[in-house]
Amino acid sequence: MTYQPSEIADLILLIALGPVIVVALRRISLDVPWAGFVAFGAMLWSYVFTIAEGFVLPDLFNLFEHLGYAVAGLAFAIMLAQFASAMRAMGERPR
Amino acid sequence: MNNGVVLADAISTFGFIVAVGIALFARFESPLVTKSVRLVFAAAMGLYVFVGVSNLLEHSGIAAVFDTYEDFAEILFIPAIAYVVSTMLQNQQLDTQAKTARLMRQQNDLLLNIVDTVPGGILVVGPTGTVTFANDGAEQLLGMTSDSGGSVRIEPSWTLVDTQTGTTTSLAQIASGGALARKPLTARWPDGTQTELVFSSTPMSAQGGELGGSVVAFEAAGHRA
Repeated sequence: MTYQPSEIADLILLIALGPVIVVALRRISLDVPWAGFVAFGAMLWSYVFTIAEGFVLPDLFNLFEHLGYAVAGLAFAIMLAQFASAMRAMGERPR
Repeated sequence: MNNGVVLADAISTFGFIVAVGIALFARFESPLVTKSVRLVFAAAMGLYVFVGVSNLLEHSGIAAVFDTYEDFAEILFIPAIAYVVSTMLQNQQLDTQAKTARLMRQQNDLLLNIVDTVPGGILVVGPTGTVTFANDGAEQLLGMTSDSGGSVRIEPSWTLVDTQTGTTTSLAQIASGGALARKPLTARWPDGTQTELVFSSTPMSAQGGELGGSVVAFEAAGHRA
């Protein structure tokens, strides 16, 4: 059974600040792109599996953890591109 | 299985590098995305570029020297994202306030233009009888001038007389007397000339429901020397 305290701290931070982030995003009058949910979901996935790999199936769960980061990386890039596109569209919309 | 991890790390590193680039260089054209928002978001993405590179080196068997620092990078990620989102929310609130203030200034300017275009006189009289605003019509009819500081000069001084009863009255009495509709009053000037006027007034309610002065309007009913 090996896990690092920082991994627990990462998960706690995501669980504690996740709702704050979601509430703030909902109050910003801009729809959160689907990629945003995928990105944060993938980060949560990775944080859970990095702890779980210390208890069972270390190799498989380690792969799951890194796959989660891969999905998160791509999803964050797509999310930012979607944000930029949506904000430009808002700026160009006639008022 | 290790090859899968290396491949995932490579994809992750690529994705976060692209995210850093978009955060720094994309055109957002929104007051929500300030330079600090861009920089902190790019830094947050950069943390996982570092983690990805460190993992790539470690799982490829090249070096594990950065492994110790990964934890510090990872723990900063979520607070940085929370900072970015809360800053965007604050920026939106500031932008809304600025737009509201601009709209109020425009409405105020429009109202002032309308008030100054009206040929009759319009005054704002406080509960103590102090005139706090006079439009251009008031200046022409009763020689009142209003400055941007909110004070009004009355020059030369005249007296107001009830045209029907002949009793002397004042702006303070008109302002504190409740609503008034087309009351004929005569302004007597020091040089003996008289201006026949018709006055109307509407009380303004201040905070707490107490009388907050009146808006007094008047127009010339006739002029005789």
